[in-house]
Amino acid sequence: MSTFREGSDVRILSIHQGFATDHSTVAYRYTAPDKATAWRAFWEGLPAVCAAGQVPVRLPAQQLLSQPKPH
Amino acid sequence: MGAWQLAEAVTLRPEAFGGMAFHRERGITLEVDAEAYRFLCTCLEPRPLPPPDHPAARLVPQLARLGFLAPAEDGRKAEDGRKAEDGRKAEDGRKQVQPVPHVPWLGDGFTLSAPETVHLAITARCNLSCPGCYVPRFAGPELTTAELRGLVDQWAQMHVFQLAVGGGEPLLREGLFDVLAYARERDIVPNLTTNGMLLTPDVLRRLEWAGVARVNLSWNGPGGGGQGRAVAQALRMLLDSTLQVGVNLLVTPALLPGLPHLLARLHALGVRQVTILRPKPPAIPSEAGAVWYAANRLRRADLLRLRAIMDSWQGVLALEVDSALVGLMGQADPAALRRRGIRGCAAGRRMCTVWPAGRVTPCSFLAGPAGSGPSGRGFSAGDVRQVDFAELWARGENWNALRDPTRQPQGGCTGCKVASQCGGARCVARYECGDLIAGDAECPHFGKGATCAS
Repeated sequence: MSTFREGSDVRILSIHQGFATDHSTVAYRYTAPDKATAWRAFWEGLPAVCAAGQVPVRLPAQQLLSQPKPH
Repeated sequence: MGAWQLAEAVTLRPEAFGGMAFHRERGITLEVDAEAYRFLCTCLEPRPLPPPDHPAARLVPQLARLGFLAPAEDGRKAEDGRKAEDGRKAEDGRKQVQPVPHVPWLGDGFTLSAPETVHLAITARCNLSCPGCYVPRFAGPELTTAELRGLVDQWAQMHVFQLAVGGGEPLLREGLFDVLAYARERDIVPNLTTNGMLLTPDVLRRLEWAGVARVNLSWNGPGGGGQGRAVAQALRMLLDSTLQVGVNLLVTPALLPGLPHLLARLHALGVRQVTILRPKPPAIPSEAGAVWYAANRLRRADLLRLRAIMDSWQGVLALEVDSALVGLMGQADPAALRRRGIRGCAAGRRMCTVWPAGRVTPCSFLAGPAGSGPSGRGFSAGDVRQVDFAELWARGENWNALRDPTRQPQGGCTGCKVASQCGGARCVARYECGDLIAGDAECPHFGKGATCAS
């Protein structure tokens, strides 16, 4: 005999994978929204980085292959 | 079709929204609604598959794929096989699936009935003196091993899922392996964070014996905080063990320029999981802490650059970010973040910290003494030597500001589409603006030109 209410939802609300990675904080798996957005943010942030006296680091060539042109 | 049953490695727990299920072998946490929770509870005993028109029928394949449900007989064989490799457990014979606990307080959905993870600073002693360390030097008597075992019993009754053990340096603590193994025996998954200086093959064997799931190695700066060679050696030993291994990187502005190369180096060593940590304000106010934080805090431009570096490494390394960096995922779909269980700052709602002498605070960074905190009484809920942990968790008198679901982050966080899943960094907001629910002014998504309260 079913114990479920007629027409009720039976849902998984969330799935989180990962063991507790650090004893000082909760950590979550990082995912970028999309590379274009991320690179645009990078180029937008670059002047401030340079103004702060930091030298941008050249990324490994294989990672630059997928780099979109800045807008 | 044969009978199905909840996998033995699953811990269930009721919550105000329904319930939670944690897979202790796979490290997967599910939040389910009330009907799905009732279905999971019916699977404590072997039962036939629900008919196709049953409301729970569409859930079964997904639960089976995630390892939460298994054919009753096959499940037993798999579990028995696993235990045969584990001499310590095999002596006990087959254990039954944990019964559903009776919880005195169900939480309210925003705050859980018990922590998902208890962060245990098992000792304040350390063999290093890393600048910016948030753990105050502590001279009082630490909890004894017997007291810690008693705490594990209390956590087991509440169905706490995981224990994140750190310090100080936890490997300096006598009785460590006993506590870790006892947690595993009581079906709480123990994890460890260490600086790696004291790792030896014998220590690794004992960590494996104790059932530790994951060890994270702290790499606190360029060259591993000046201990580069020793940290790399510890890392190689860990990667040769059966333990799941990750590296904690505290990313400061000074580390950022070399971060791509450091990630490449870690990848070359065999590391596949890296946790990026954001520098946070000193837990206990001090002049030295304030000076360190001022020099090492990540500002908006730093965070943008960090995000670009992480994006370029995504898919190569499994990157995790601490809850204070969830804002970097601000372009994401909030519903997708919700489905992935991303809930930003969980201090006092889903986690808490137990300090070496037994004080309980919402997290490691909201730990100020009396005179600080919302009521001037500090953030301590009390002492586990004087009050049962369950009562401290349910009471949490000084944590109300963190536990009020109607108090969403203010300031520049207002209007951010992921504010409800991110929440900013509460300890940063408090430090910068004097208010726990102020916005996180360093976040790249914080309204440009906005101040704490605007």
